[in-house]
Amino acid sequence: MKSKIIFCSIAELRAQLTPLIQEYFWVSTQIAEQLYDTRIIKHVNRWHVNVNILIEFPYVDRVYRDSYYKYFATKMTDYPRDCIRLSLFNGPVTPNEFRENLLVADLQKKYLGYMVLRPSQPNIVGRSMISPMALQTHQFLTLTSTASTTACSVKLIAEGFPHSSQDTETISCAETSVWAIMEYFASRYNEYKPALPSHIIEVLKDRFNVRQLPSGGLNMEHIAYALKKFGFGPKIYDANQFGPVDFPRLLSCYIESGIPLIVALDNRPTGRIGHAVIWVGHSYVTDTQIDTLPVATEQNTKLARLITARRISLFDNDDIKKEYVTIDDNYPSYQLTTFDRPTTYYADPAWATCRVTHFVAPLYTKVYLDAFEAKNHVKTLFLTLDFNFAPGTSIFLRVFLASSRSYKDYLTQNAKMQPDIRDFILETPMPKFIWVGELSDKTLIKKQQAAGLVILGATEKDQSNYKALVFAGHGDRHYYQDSDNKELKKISVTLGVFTIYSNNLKSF
Amino acid sequence: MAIQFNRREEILNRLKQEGRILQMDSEEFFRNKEAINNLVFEIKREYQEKERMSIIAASEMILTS
Repeated sequence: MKSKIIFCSIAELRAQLTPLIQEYFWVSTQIAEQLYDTRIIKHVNRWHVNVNILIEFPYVDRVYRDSYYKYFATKMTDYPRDCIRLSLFNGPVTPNEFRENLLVADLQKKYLGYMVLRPSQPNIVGRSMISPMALQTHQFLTLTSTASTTACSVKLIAEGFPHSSQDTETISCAETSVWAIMEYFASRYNEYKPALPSHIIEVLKDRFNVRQLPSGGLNMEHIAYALKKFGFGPKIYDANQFGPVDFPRLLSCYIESGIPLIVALDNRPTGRIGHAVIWVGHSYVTDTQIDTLPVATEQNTKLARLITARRISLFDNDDIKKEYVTIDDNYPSYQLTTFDRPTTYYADPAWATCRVTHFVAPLYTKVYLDAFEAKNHVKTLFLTLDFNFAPGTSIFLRVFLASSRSYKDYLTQNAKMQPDIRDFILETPMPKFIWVGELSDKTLIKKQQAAGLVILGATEKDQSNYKALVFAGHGDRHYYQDSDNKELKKISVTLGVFTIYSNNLKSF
Repeated sequence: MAIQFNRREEILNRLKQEGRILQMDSEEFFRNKEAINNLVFEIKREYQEKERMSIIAASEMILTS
């Protein structure tokens, strides 16, 4: 077996790649060209014109090898074992840059990630981690992770959200979503490990009464169960149960919290599609979207009465009609779509009627307080604590989950917050995760500022007697639990305005 | 020389001396707390029911496309 290393531009890619596909994936020239024109081109067309590519063969891909030994090698038909890897760089790269010490350091700056091509035709686009910076348009906020990899034997770090197309035999959209979630979390947190296709099959074997290979897909409960076995405390949300107002708000709240969600898209019974995708971020919020945001409809009648009684106009950040960043195994990474029409990027009209029916939130096991209860509790607290809201006050509410480490780190750099309050919060003991409600108004939020704060401990499921309250403050009134006698105390200090927390999603 | 760093205590002591810390123990506060506890309990029950039904519905949502 001959190894091949080719450096080329986007314009040269088809001519360089199709002979390799033909030779190494054991297909005819016609099929190799067809694979490029139907499967690869849709990825390449989104890349920036400056992107240059390094093609390498053979590449041993751990995910494909897992599927190969577990499944493809058990067939009579011969399947190749090796893959082709494309590494992306911003601008031209030459072989010398990979061999001269002084030039190697600059490669990392140019590196935009990789894409693996596997011999599972026609679905040959395998594992990829491509930076949003490789795309022609990347104006969005998204989650990314990093992975240590190599290109032409040089160690590099790729940044992006893990993506793979489904091979339809060992992994369908559902398994691919679980795989991508695990790749993401494993690269960011020590608590988690990557899950190969065979691991997913193994953890679910007792949940199936029928064979699992070839894959017939998973249901949403299987997805949640697999995530639980891989160390999460997942939660499932059904659109019919939470309704047309709360369901999209909860989804938005988790995305704002930096939690990647496995989202179910469905058009049955009128259609025949049930599909899993991952939502990992959202588009930038414009001033116009904030200006035109209507007053929030409160679903809980008691909370609605409290809002009316206090003569407050409440605006909910989760009501903004954002575009969501989607990782879809039928399409290249980072598709933008909306909650109401989640399959806008599909050319096939059969997909047009798909709607979001469920989502699974892979939460840290000790986040006992979910978004529904947390949001309602934030509202309850700021409406019932003795904050001095003048009648007619407008409040723009933004609620999100954050790690207390990240939140405190942000506070240390938030010079605008009143110093006493900032130091007080910084030295307040908190659980690993907290729910934060920032109180702002339309003018302040456009300047990325807030004027009030409610912090809840995410590990406290029992919200009675202010148990979940860590801190609440607005204007000149602030509340905290006294650590000695567990009673609520009020501090009188003027808070002023401060910069909002924005570390959950990365902007590109 | 070692430096002890506890701004929170310093702030609380200072605010206490200035009379800017108040323990919430009025009758009105306890009535309010009881109302909040009732609302919290109601929301918790609502969530438990919606969560239970979501899990049941999720088992029928097969994803293959």
